[in-house]
Formats: sequence, C-alpha cells, structure tokens
Amino acid sequence: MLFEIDTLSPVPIYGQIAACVRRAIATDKLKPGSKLPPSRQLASELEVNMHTVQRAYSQLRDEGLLELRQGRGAMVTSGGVAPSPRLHALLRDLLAEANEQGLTAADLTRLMEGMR
Amino acid sequence: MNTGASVRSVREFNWPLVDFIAAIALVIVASLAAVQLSGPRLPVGAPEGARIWLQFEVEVMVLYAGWIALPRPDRMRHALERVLPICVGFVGMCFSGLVATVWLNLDASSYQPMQTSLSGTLFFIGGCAAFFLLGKYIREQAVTNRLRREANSSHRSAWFAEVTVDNSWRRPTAITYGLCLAPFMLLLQLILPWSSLPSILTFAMLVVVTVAVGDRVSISITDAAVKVRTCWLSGNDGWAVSLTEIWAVEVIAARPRTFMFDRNRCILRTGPALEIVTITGGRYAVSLESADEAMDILATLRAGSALAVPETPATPYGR
Repeated sequence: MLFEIDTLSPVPIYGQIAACVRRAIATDKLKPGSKLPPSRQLASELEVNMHTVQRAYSQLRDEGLLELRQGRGAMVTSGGVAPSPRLHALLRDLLAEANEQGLTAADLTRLMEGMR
Repeated sequence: MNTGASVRSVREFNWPLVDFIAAIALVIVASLAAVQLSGPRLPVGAPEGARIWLQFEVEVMVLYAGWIALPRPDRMRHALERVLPICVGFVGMCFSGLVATVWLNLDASSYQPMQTSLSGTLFFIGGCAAFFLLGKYIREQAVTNRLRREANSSHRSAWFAEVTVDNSWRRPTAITYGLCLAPFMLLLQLILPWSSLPSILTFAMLVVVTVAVGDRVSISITDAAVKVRTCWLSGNDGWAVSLTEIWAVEVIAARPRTFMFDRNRCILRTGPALEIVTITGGRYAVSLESADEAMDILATLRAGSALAVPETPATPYGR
C-alpha cells in the first residue's frame, strides 16, 4: 500500500499516516488480515520519528481497524471501517441538507460515485 | 510535529565504513587475546585448533580486501553494501569457532574439536548468526545514508509489499544447499569419522529448517529509491537502487532456479517479477505479485519528483 505525507500540511503526520491506512481499508486495498509495514521500517522510509508511526498505529487500533501484536506487527482487523462520531454527524447533516433539496440517499451516492 | 531529518548535513566520516573496520579489528584483537591468554590452560592440540580459526580470520580478511581492491566504478558502494557485510559475517564465523574451541577445552584433560560437540556447534551457529546480523545492520545504515532524500520537497511517499517463498523456490534451493554442503560434510566425516556427527546433523537440520521456513522479502518504493530486504535465508541480501539510477522498469515472468547466486535477483516464486535496469546496465529483479502496481507507482514517483530523465530509452517504462 502507498503512504503519502506532506510535512508542511497542518494535519499532523500521524494523522496523515492513519488517514492513508483508513483510505486503503475503505477502498479494499488493505483486506482483513493484511499486514502493515513495521513501524521502524515505515518511519525510516518516510524519514519521520518511529513514535509518530506508532501513534498512528495506536490510533487505528483504538478505532478497531488494526490489531497490534508484540513481535507480529500491525494487522488489519476483520471489523471493517467504522465511521468516527464526527464523520457520522457530518453524514447526518449532509443527508438532511440533501432531503431539503429533494435529493435521496441514492442520489447522494450517485453524486459521490461521480466525484471519485 | 516531526518532520524527520530532511536536511542532510555534510558527513565528516563514513560511519558505516568506520563501523565495519572497527568490528573486524575488534574481532581480530579479541581472537589474538583469546589465543594468547587461554594458551596455558588448553590441552595439547587445542591451541593449534584455535590458531587455525585465527588463521581463517586473517585469510578471510585478505580475501575480501582483495575483492574490494578489484577495479570497479562504484567500489565504495560495493564494499559497504556487498563485500564488508559478508566479510564481517565470515570473520565472525571464524571468531565463533575459535571461542567455541577455547570454551570447550578450557582446563580440559584432552582436546575436543568444536564440531564434535553439540553445544559447541550450537554456539558456533549462534555466533555466526549474530555476526551476519551485525553485518546486515551496518549495511542497512550504509544503504540508508546513500539513499536519503534530498530536502527538495515536503511530500514523501512510500509503497510497501511483501513476498514469501512458495514450493517452486523450495526444491531448487534444497538442491543448491544440499550440493553445496555435501562436500563439506563429507570432508568433515573423512577428517573426524563419526565424531563430527553432531555438526553434520546440525547443519543438515539447519538446511531442512531453512528450506521449510523459506525467506521473506519486503519491497519498499519511495520517492528516493527502491529497496528490497530479505531475511538472508535465501542467501540473498537484497538490493537498493536509487530512482535516479533507473533506466527502465519491466514486469517479467520469473521462476526460481538451482544455483541462482546472482545477488541482484530475489526470485522467491514462479510468477510476475519486477525487473529494474539501471543506467549502468545492472539488472535487479524481485518476485512481486503486484508488479504492475509497483511499476505504475514507480512511474508516478519518477514523474513527480522532477528527476533527470535518462536520454537513451524510447520507452523507459515499457512492459
């Protein structure tokens, strides 16, 4: 899988790394059971601190997306992507706005598909 | 926010080279000290047995120094990333043999060669593994130093994949290891009939375990380089090529072969492999299920990193 970060971005690096993993899981590029690169190796290749990568992995573990095991590294769980409460709220607002404009959830899905 | 070491400072020392020299020098000094200090406490024959290992150490060192001295354009890189890691491993192997011999015979009444004892053989194998890992570790530092990004962009990318062996690798590897070790075991049996059985069985078991476990290769593609790391069980130490050195990238069909000693080819299974041709004509290959994706990533990274595009090829990313 591809990790991309921008060191000048206002988003912290650990957040960018976590976002890369979330995206890969959501688009099926990372399947349940897939192993992520060891934090040391990823940190070395991205030239960031190893603790930054570990923080990203820990965040993903707390979200239930990764399983971290001593000596076995990080592995994608079979739980799938669980939207964060913030994303959930945003989606609810979006759906309400769409309903006001006479659009259904199916119309929204089509619109989003067209944006990809 | 951590941005890592994006600006490279001018290095006054080539630290990996210093580390390699220090490791080899320390081993030689420790060996000399071990032979000198333990001499009076060893039974007849043991000092000679220990000195043979010391002699091997010096021979290995001279042999590898000669290999480094051979004329070639990229001598320092060749020395740091290929010759010296193996040299440290072999010098360490001789040191382990020496220490095992001294340890087994200290204050003993009669000389017992290292290879006739299971604990001695296991100590020897453990020592070998430690020194080969040390060589591998210092090599990693050398590769990292050479392939560090220049501070020209805030964007960093890294693509990862992993490949393990399949049965198409196991058979040719078992034949290769078997045929390489058979003369050594035969010689051992001729020199020390039956008493060397622990060593022979241990080595045979190691080959079986190595072939059964196999190797695992991790491939990383960044906006600086393509790196292939192995666990060394396949006898291959991997390779690393900078994006600026790449002339062409291809997806090829490859299969493991017997006596495949080309260290630039990490072919662990029958199937697609990524092959990189460098501007100096070197060919590097690695088995990769997602070789097409890797090729696309490489093309994107090269296009996005404003690298000087080599003039010669008409289709630098041709399949």
